[in-house]
Amino acid sequence: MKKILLLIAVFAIGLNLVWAQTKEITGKVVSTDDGATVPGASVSLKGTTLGTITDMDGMYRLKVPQDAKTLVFTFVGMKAQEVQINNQSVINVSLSSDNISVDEVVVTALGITREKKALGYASQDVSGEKLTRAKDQNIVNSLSGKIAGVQITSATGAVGGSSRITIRGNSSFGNNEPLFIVDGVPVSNYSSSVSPGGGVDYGNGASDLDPTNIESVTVLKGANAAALYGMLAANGVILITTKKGSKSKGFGISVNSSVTFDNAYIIPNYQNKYGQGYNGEEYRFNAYQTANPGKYANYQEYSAKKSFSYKNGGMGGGVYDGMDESFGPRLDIGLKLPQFDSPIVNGVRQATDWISQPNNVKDFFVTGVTLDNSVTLDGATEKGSNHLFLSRQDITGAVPNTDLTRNTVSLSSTTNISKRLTAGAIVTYTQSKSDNLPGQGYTANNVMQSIGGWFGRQVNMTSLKNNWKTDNADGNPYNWNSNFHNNPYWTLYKNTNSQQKDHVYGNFNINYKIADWISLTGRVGTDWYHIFKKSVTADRSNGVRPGGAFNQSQAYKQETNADLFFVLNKKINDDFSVNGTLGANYRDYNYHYTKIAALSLTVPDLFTIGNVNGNPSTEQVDTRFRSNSVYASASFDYKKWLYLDLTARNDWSSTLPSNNWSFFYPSATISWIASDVFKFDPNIVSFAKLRASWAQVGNATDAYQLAMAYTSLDPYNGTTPFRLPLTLPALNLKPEAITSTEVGAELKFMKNRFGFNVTYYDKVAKDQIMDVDISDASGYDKMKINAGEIENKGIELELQGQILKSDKGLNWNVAVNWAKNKNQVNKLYSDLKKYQIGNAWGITIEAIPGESFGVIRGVGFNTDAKGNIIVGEDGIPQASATPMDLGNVMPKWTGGINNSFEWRNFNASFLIDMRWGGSIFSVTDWFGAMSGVSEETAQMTSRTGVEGKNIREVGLVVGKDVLKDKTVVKADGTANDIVVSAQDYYESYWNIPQQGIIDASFIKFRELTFGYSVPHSILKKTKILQSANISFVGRNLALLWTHKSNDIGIDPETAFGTTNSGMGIEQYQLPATRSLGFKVSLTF
Amino acid sequence: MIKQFKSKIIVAFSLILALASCTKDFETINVDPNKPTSVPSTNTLGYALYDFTNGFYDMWIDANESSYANQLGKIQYVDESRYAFREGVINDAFATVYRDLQNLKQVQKDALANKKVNMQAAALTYSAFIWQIATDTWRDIPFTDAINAEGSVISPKYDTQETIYPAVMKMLADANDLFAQKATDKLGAGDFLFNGDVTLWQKFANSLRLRMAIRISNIDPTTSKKVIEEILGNPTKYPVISSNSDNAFFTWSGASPYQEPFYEDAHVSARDDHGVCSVLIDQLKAFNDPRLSIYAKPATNDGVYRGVIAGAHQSTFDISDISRIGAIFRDNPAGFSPYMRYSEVLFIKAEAAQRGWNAGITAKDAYTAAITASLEEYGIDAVAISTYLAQSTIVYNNTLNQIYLQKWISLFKQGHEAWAETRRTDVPKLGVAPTSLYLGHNRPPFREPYPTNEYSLNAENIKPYWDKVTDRLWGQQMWWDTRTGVK
Repeated sequence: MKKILLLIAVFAIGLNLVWAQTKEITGKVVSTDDGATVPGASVSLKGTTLGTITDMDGMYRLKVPQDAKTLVFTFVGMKAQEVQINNQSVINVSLSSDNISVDEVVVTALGITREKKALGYASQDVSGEKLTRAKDQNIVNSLSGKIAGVQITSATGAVGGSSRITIRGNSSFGNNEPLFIVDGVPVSNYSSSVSPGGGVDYGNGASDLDPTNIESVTVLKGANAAALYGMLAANGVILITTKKGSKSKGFGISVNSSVTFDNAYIIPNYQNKYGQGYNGEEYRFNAYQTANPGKYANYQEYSAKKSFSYKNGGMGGGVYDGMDESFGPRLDIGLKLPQFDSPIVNGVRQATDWISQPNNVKDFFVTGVTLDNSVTLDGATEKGSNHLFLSRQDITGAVPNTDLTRNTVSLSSTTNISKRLTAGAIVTYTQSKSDNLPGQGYTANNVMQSIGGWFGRQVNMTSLKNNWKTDNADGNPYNWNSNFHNNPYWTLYKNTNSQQKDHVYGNFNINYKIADWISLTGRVGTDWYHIFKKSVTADRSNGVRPGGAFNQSQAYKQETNADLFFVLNKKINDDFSVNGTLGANYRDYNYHYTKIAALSLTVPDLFTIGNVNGNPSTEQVDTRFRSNSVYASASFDYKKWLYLDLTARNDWSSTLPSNNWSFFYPSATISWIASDVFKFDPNIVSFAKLRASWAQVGNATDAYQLAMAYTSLDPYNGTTPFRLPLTLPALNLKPEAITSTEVGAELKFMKNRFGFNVTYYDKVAKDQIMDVDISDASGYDKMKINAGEIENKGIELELQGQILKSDKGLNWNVAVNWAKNKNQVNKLYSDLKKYQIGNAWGITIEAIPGESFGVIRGVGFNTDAKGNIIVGEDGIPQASATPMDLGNVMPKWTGGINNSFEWRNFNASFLIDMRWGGSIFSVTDWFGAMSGVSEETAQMTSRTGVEGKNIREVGLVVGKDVLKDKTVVKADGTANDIVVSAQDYYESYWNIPQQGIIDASFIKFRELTFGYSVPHSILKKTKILQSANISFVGRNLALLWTHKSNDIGIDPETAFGTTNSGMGIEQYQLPATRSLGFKVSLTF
Repeated sequence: MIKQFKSKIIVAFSLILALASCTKDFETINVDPNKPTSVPSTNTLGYALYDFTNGFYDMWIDANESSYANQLGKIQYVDESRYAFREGVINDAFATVYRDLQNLKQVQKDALANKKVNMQAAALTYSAFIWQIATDTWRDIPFTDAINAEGSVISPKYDTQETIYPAVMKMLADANDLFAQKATDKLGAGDFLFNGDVTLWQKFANSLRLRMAIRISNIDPTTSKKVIEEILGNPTKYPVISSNSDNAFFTWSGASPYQEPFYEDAHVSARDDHGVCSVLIDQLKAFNDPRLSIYAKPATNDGVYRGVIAGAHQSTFDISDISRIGAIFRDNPAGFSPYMRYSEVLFIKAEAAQRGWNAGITAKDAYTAAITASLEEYGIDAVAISTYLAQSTIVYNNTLNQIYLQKWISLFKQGHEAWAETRRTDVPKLGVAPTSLYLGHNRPPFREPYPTNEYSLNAENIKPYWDKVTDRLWGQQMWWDTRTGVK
């Protein structure tokens, strides 16, 4: 309370000014360049503190003393102008742009526009135009490579898929996602529950935003930038400003249309030498013949009897037809074997040609088409402005039978009720619908788990495609292997995951200008969505109970944010001015979720709960929490070259215990424009700024974390089992505390032709509210506590330059951004040694004190003192006795290079995006070897005497044919020379998950655009068109480079949804897609 | 004018502040509307019964331990049969033990507070049952310090099996004393095991104590004899399982998701990874045992009963030549998970009598009754039973080994027990998997691996015990495992 009183005092002083005025001057400020009005320009009486700013229409009204002499007009990016008053009562001015110091304007907290040079912290923005140049339907992906220190990981090539975004590394064991603020109001970036274990990616909340309607995106990177948004902003803020009505009077229409084609472009490297089955390699055949001379006449007979022969359904009734490995007989050497698509003659399945199908996976994918159309209507009068945006996207995926249709209606309206009172509203309604979205992760619902990992390399995809609706003679669905898999077409056409999402967000606001220097804004915003999902599994699918199954859920979320705040802007004298805000926020969050599901159905394929066979499975979640906040900020500006910003905020959260639910945090930043002090020669140093900041942010937790509450299971014979929670609740939680410090410098050279911006930051997150793993023997899996300290330090670098500059000739701009984040977990909780972030197949992703967040641990090779890999008597590498460190998921650095070119009416740009370092556990690689589908499992040997033969023919020697860059020894320390069967070796991967770790470094050709703007001379003739652009666009054009450990050839940029648990684990990713298309934009 | 503003602003701001710091609803807002903070004990008892059975009588623990006991063997993905276990399975199993014990502790606490003696006794009995299986699985585990996170013990120390065994046997004696009070409280609908029949619970408690007593017969014959004679000498005070209808079988609901785990594996997950082991099949064949066609199905290839060598390399056999697990164990969604059978009690009596202790019955009679009970369990008719018993190989020959062998045969689908008995008796004498991941051993594993979670989360306490283990599954033998020359 004391702190708050102090704040009031600070602001009261600011108000304590007295003056008198006797005459009024009005006028309009316009731009010399295009004649457009200039809203927000500052008008002041020279030598006094009197002043005002122009309104939406560039108009101003200022009372001045009778003897007033000179008015000063200033606006960011324009040359200041002084005008003698004399006896005029109307003074209109025209300001020309100031090319020497193009002061960028940025949107900061609470939507307040400020000169970028005043900021004491790093913020980086991307214009809507840049976002949509090569538009990605997910706005998060559009930021890829464009902002230093922002790591974006898009989750594979599924339609409508989500993307993970983190700013300055991971600092939390819980949520590391930044806060999304759209037009001043938080919009949830909810994500679906897809995880390495499986699920469907229904997209993230931010993917509902249509980039076409976005004016700009500003990334406030540190806690410093975000202190005023409070606890939600601990991980940074993505500030999105949507397009508003045009500022000049009149009526405008613009139309954007594009069509893009998506194709799967990163397909793993498969072998095409051996088909499905077991024991089929010649190496085993030869050994068998030696042991059992004469039992089988030849390889053909051996293959049919001992390795592979298909019977009805591939249920295991034939010879290893129930297996889904490709360790079967050799392909393309004239063998004939009964297969799933072989004809049946007189009840006998015929042996047909055993041949390779090199493109069977690639051919499965189709060309996805995205049609994107939008219309914008803008209108403005003296009474206000309106902006209506309508858009529709029709998207079909590269995965067959997957789609998304999205409609957006957005209306933004501002009304000037009186000179002092302005009211506005922005409402956006987005509806997204999908009939089917693909399953992901390790589940039968993910087709890549089947065809991409456990598959027969001889399977003819066309047969599966043409016959998936039919049955085998024995009544099983037509399939290559019904023991473990569905026909992939069956999966996509029958086992669908549909959703409908209705999302409304926006706000109503009212602004009252109390005086020229102070205004009061009231704003009520809502973020509301309703998501309906239904997943069905058809009767007779693999692993489903009789009748089929379904799962239907509805989620309803509504969040209200109400803000009331003063904004003041006071010039104290020529040298000194103050900006300030003082306000309060009320947040109320409501969430309701219900699920009904049936694991088995009475009438097959009737997916309704009344048709359940057995008990329905249900779930209900109702969540509510509230927070209240007060906040204040003050920016002191001395001579426009020294800026000091102070902020303070107090939050009250219902999710914490009463003794801790109120918490306070401050911030301070300073910005010094050296170039305005020392007046450097602008031809050399045109701008120089140093900045520093320090900030704290507190954070509360989720609802209902304090009580010991029981969880129910589905009823057992009508009785509901209840169990204690798995996590021991905390009795006395306190808020989390994040402290962030940063310093930076911005330099511009040669009249701003070249620029350089560097930031160093150090962010320490303490007392995190987290569920830590404890010994299960304690009776609980985890306990909830305040614990841990994670520190992120890093450097961010932005470089830009106009390499070529010419009014009529070629212009070439380069923008480079680069960031390095060093993360360290300083401590966990008492003697706790690790915190598990994610896991799959015995591999764990952990936080370990003293190490970087995201250590990959698991069983690796057993090595001797020198680090040599030891093989057993069987010639196969031994596994380590205990799990060991196998790498870290965090990249060493990330960066992007954007080149843009302009020549007359043509423009082009391309973006290269890269990541260096960091590992992932690739299940596609690991199981790809174990299942014998990956290219390396049928590689050639270079061993003396058998050069050029396949390792499946002549066996392999570990250390010579595989693990070539390692020293491999036998137990006695001598070099390994034991020849083993390729099948035995690759199956041994199971015991050594280290074999699935790959380096995730990459260089990607992310974006390419090539455009043409119709010249004004032609446009004039049309009399309606104001602008017309046509462009060719491409996204994700190529994976230019990947590490050699990625010999399986997956996309190393991989994630599951947006949560921590999906980091560093790749599990049968859907192939990434390349998008190519055309776009037309017209403005009338 | 500005003064007027100032006062308005201050009033407005004070109002904001007053509203912002208004927290009077906060505590009510933060009460979860969907999750209770207390529930009837019977619903939690039901949870523990279901959860433990689901975790320990499935394809990953039970079937794989049956493979260590050479009753089953894997025919596809043979990893577990060659001792390549899944870390996740072990971590989960360990967590299941303590999670269920924690819930049962809560049941006992509530029962004590509400003077529900039968509920307290049932929860105590089931806790003892879990402890017995857990210690026979890992030997030394957290016991006295365990399930006390509320008491701030998050890294519980380990206790040796030597101290756990007597303490658990005492729990069972205490449970019997509680049941003996003949209290009137009902166990309720959550008693999925005995449907509220308190007498059956009491019989189960005493029979379990017999099981533990006989298990330590080689290492602590004094206690073993004392306990067995105490129980068998006073059937009124210590009723035990005395017919197949008393069997402690968890019978599954059969409605999804509560289907018998072997069924679920075969018919929902569509897995076909286990066959019957050749050691068991060959033994049943040698004895012309009518249980052969119950335990196993003939091979689809040729209709012959043929087992798989546990851990044989997959290239050495064709899966269609191997017998799968019999239908009553694997093809019934409402099937059963056997905790303890009547025949086991009779085999314990036979062994006690053979050791010269007073079991109230002769070794021969008990032995014959035990085999009879086992055959009757499967509905085998009296004629077939007497034919079987009349064989020279079956007629009692006054050796413990004969009791041990027959007992091993009877413990089908009780992986833990069959494996524990082979570790105690070395009958039948088993070898190791031909493709064993770990070389240099001459018996199947002595124990399940300690969970890696404990190694990272409770390192200090587990370290000395972890170090006594060799190759994760061997090393120090169970306290009651007195075999010599095994490794």
